[in-house]
Amino acid sequence: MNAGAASLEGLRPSAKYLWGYSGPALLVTIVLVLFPLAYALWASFYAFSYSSDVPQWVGYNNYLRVLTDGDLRSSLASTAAIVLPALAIEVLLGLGLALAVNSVSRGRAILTTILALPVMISGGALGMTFRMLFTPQWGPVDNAVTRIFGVGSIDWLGNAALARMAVVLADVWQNTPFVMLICLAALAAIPEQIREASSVDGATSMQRFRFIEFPLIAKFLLVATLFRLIDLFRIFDVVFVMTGGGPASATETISYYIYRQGIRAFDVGYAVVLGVVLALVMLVVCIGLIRLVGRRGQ
Amino acid sequence: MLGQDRLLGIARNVLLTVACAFTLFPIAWLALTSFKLPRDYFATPFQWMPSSLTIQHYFRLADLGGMAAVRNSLIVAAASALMTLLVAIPAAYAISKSRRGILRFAPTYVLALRALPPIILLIPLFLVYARLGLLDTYVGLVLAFSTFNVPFAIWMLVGFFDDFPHEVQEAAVLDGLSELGSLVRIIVPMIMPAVAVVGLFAFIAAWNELMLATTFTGQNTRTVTKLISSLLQSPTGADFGAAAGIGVISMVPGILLVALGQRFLVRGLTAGSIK
Repeated sequence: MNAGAASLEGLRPSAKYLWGYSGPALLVTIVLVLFPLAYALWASFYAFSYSSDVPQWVGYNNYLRVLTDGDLRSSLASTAAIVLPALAIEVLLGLGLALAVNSVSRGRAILTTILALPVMISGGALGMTFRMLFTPQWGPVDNAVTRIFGVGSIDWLGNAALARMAVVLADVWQNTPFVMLICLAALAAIPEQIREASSVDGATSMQRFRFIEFPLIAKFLLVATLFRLIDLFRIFDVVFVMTGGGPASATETISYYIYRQGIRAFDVGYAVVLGVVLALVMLVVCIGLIRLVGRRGQ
Repeated sequence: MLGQDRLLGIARNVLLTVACAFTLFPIAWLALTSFKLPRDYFATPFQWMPSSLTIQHYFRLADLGGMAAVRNSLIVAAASALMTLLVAIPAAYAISKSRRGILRFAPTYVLALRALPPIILLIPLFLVYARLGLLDTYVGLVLAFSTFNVPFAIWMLVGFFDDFPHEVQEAAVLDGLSELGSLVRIIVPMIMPAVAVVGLFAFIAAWNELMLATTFTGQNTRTVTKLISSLLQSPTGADFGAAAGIGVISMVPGILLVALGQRFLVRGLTAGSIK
């Protein structure tokens, strides 16, 4: 280690930090991220099949298929039908919960912990739990609904609209606390004097939220929203375990569709093109996010 | 005025009570189900408390490969956390010291990777792994997890290095330590709690990962998440008791992190973009 350290010290500062300290990370990035991406780009011009070892050059064909792919359009629609309601509920409820938790005088920490419990649970366990919750007959949801409303048993995950609703509910359950935690952190950063001054001036809690708290946390709420949008847009794990994309393709999100094309159908070239489409959409979102975060720093 | 505030207070308490119940119910129900006999969890109307408790599901889970799955997940997650820290600590230190050359783009890269759908790396990695014989190996899985864990850890650690007082390091170097020596012997020990939390996040990200794990593992390296997805899709009918059991086991690390590491949660969840 001493010899290594000595040779490291001999380098120019920029080279030392770049090739010395960051070397392993650069290696990981090149071998495991950039090389696979380049390989994927190459593969997007070929047709793969299980029957032949040699991929066939097909030029831009895989790209052209995007334009006429009905399944892609329906998976985008399914994604939107899950993402938009989930995002709206998570953001509004997360903000509401943050304000509620922030305004209690005692037990704030324990409340936050209880409400945040689902946030680090695996998508697999989440999907499994909600799949079991929505099982017809003995599942608690069906059980409660049939008894309260006196209706017959419902096949929740076998109905397109209900299955989407169940996936939305599962995601809301797990990720509303994410928005809440960010809002709570932002609220905690508001100086106490500002709040005191406003109550001295006779502001109601509504006015205080509208004119003081909301403007100060709005940017954080926006960041939380964008993070949720990014993660929701590529939602996979919950769907994979909970519904398998069904019934029919009602919950087949774009990530799931790509997975089906690439891994199950081994249509690798086309799956890569679909990945590019997904990445481009995400990139647009991400640039917005970076701009936003960057502006905050100034 | 007072009336309005009191009404808001009541609404707030109702909201918080309902939210806590909604949050706790699935976890509590799943945990109870894993200790219930089938006649109790299949019972209609629904029964909270079973007539008797059983641990038979956990024994059966062991026969279904549960032990091996837990062991595999532990090995892969621990190895991934360790590798992540070894790679990310020096890189984060370098970025904190020098934001020149390509290192200037490191923050943008990390954020972009956060947005990159993992599926786009999954497919080429699958092809490469198939050719190199890395499918169904620990090494393959650990390397695949580092694609998201390393940038995440770098991004979290840069903030901690930025906050570290320069004077302390300068003093160490004056006392004769090399720069690398001061990093290893002074800085890292002083920010150990933060390093441990980053390692814990990396561990849990690997423990929870589903897409890569389902695609890259087979009989030898089947992880907990893969077992979860297979237990409910078994051709002989779903084994709900065993599934509940593995679900509970799968949830434990994530719940522990929230309960114990709440202070670091926001930083971890947003990977450093908000400080």
